[in-house]
Amino acid sequence: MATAAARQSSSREIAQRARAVPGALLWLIVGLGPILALLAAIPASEGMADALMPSLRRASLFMTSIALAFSVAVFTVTVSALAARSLRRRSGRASALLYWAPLAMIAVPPYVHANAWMSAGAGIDALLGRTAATGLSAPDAVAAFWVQSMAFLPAAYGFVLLGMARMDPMLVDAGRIHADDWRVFRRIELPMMAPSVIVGGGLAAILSLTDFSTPALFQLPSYAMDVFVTYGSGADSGAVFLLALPMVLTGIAIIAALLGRIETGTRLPDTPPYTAIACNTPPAWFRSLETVALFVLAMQSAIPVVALLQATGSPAVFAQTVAAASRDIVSSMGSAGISALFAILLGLLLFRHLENRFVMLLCLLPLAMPGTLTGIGLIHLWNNDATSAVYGGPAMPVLASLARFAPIGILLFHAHHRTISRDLIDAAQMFRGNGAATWWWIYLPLYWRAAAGVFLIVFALSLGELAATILIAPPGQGALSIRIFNLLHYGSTAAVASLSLLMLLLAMAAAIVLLALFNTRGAARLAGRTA
Amino acid sequence: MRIKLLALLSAAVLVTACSQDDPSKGSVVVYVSIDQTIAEPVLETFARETGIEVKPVYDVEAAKTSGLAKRLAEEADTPRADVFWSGEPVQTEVMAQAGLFSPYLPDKLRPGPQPGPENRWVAFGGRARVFIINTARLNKADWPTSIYDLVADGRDTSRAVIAYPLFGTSATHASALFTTLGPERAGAFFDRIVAHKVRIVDGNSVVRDLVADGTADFGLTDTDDACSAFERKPDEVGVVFPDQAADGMGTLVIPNSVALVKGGPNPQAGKRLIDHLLSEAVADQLADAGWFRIDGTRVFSPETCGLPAKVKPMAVDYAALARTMGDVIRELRDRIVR
Repeated sequence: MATAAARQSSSREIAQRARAVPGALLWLIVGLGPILALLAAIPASEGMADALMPSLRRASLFMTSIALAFSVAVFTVTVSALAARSLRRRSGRASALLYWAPLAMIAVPPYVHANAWMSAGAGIDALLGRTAATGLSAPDAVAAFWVQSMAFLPAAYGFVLLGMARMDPMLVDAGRIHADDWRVFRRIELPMMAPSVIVGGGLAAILSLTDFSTPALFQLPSYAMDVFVTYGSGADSGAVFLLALPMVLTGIAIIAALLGRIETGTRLPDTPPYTAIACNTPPAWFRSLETVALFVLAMQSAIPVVALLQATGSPAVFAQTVAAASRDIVSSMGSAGISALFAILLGLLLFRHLENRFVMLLCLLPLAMPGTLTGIGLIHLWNNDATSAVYGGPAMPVLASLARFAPIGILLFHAHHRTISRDLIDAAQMFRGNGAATWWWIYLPLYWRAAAGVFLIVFALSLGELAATILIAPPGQGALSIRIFNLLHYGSTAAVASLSLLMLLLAMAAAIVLLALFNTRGAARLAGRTA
Repeated sequence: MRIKLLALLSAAVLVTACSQDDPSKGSVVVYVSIDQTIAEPVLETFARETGIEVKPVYDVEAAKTSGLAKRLAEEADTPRADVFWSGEPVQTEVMAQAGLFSPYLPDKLRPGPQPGPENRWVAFGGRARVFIINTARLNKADWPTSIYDLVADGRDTSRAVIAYPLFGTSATHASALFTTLGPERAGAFFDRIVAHKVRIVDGNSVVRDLVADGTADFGLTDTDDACSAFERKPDEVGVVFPDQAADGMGTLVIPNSVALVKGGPNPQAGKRLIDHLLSEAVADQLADAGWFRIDGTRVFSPETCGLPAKVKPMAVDYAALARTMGDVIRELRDRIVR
């Protein structure tokens, strides 16, 4: 009897491992392929000596980049946590929309934030009759920090919302019986939110570390810039990868440090529907901080939107620019749509295996790669006679987007998976195995909202991808991001604003669809609010 | 079920991936590192006149002209492009020295375009390095006339601006200065740029915008950037060629360059595109678009940019620049990116 049970258990384990093979193979090619291709290029590198040469200058640049990344991470999660907490106390559909709206800004690339904030700074300077008084139009580490913070705030904010969702409202209310809001926040809410908040901060830090353009715009030399310049000076890709390794390894270290946090940080409380008691009033100083954070969050969305509307000029200009770029828009939307579908597939194939920390590390590793290196890795991987049908074709932008953004999709699936009771799945599998009926009647109803979320986020991020796309864009197939950067150089402010506005509208439409899919009650539930 | 889903989606991608046009129908792949807005009409005219489908890939300033050049180098073993059309010649010569191009010259090369070493590329048309000046901020008597004005004592050089001399045409200019002045004098010049707190920004278009907006007083950029600002704000922007005095070194003239990629999939169509790009009609088209300003020492439509009719160009050897460019960039990286 025991032998039969052991045999059954063993065969189930083998079946489970067999089911993991397609996902593992797909990830080996799509996610890890570019990294492995770059690793393979290292032995043939001729610039290894320069790349490995220890240098005080590089060490100093690296420390600058780390300091910037750390500051951006701390600032974005602090603002996110305070603003989200303030919004959470408010009820009604409008506040629910406001609660989720900043997520739409995830599709707005840093250069749009930079332009918008520089315009705003210049406007304030003009009003005050001073020159560069705000510091946003001056070469300034503060300006670089501010623009990066605004650009990466939505990413941190998303994880803070997950953290909010993780809070058990019954515990919070129990605390409120004995203590004021500040103490409850510090002793109960923050520890429950902390894992997700740390993950959000880690993501913002990785994004900051690999961003070369924003610091360069404000004349702040960064380690990412050193890597880029070295690549431009003729260094081969193996040497450049070696040079970028400290950045990549730091990203990996951040990811590794966050692994434990991710596992608990993405889990929602398994509590029955519960109506929280009315909030106590937090101390005045704490409320002031929340108000400031709320203001920053509102400005994070409002300044770019207003600047873009102002620069666009008129609906006619908008329509004309969009019509002229229609081929690039359609092509980018197509690539982004297919990327998002594949991100869902990868999420479905891999999310269960993320319980294993090593697997999770392998899944999140591509997040630490700068986009340019991902592009080079993709060329190495796919540009050969055997795969010539793929390289140079429309699949390449899809592969680039997946290599960069699929990890976020997989992580979101994993997060959603942690919210679902396994009893439902076990019960279904007991009677119907893992067949189509189980997928149709159990998995689909349980996971379709996560799939919608992954689709929309990967779609939005893919739409604005430039660093890797420029290196692998198929001949004859335009891309919206490439057109925007070309227009930016050409000085067509109205056209740049129109296309950036279009990207923002598409992302906002995506966020509204997401909200509608979750519906107010579902959204409120996920946010840990009372519905 | 998941395996079926995987198979279905993989099939969908393979179908889309393999739905590329057959090259034998007559197409040409061109990597273009000049502005899409400028190049697109030229390529559309070629496609309309010849029936050859043009498949362009455009670079962006954010990739610092190294995007497509690097892509060509990375694709060297299995080339995908037929033609490389660049906004500057030194990167092209670097790739020519690496053996990425096949020699090609049109049968009837009109006067103007100049073949590069061993006919591996052809220079045509041109832009030049210029000062862009905010006329509200600087009186004409204070306008800069030499690149040394960027580091002149007595000037508020913190309100002067240049693009990082590590990318694009700014790197070409820096490399030309190292060749012309010698490494020591040129290195000292850039040290003074840093010491005088000249603003170093992300690109020539940023230089243009900062000066046009009055955030900076003057800056060093290319004619296409400066002249576009002049056309928009003729009363607020001035443009001058630096170092035009009799004993001055002249300004760097930067021709476009075009080359036939070695082993590209459509060499015949590639040659026809090169013939077209080097034609008189395209030169006129690019001059009308404001991209070409210089032809030898002649300046196209000088009145539309407030420039003189003649320019004194800097004497440069592009082959020599190409040989030293990587070292110069690394040298400047160590001096500036710190």
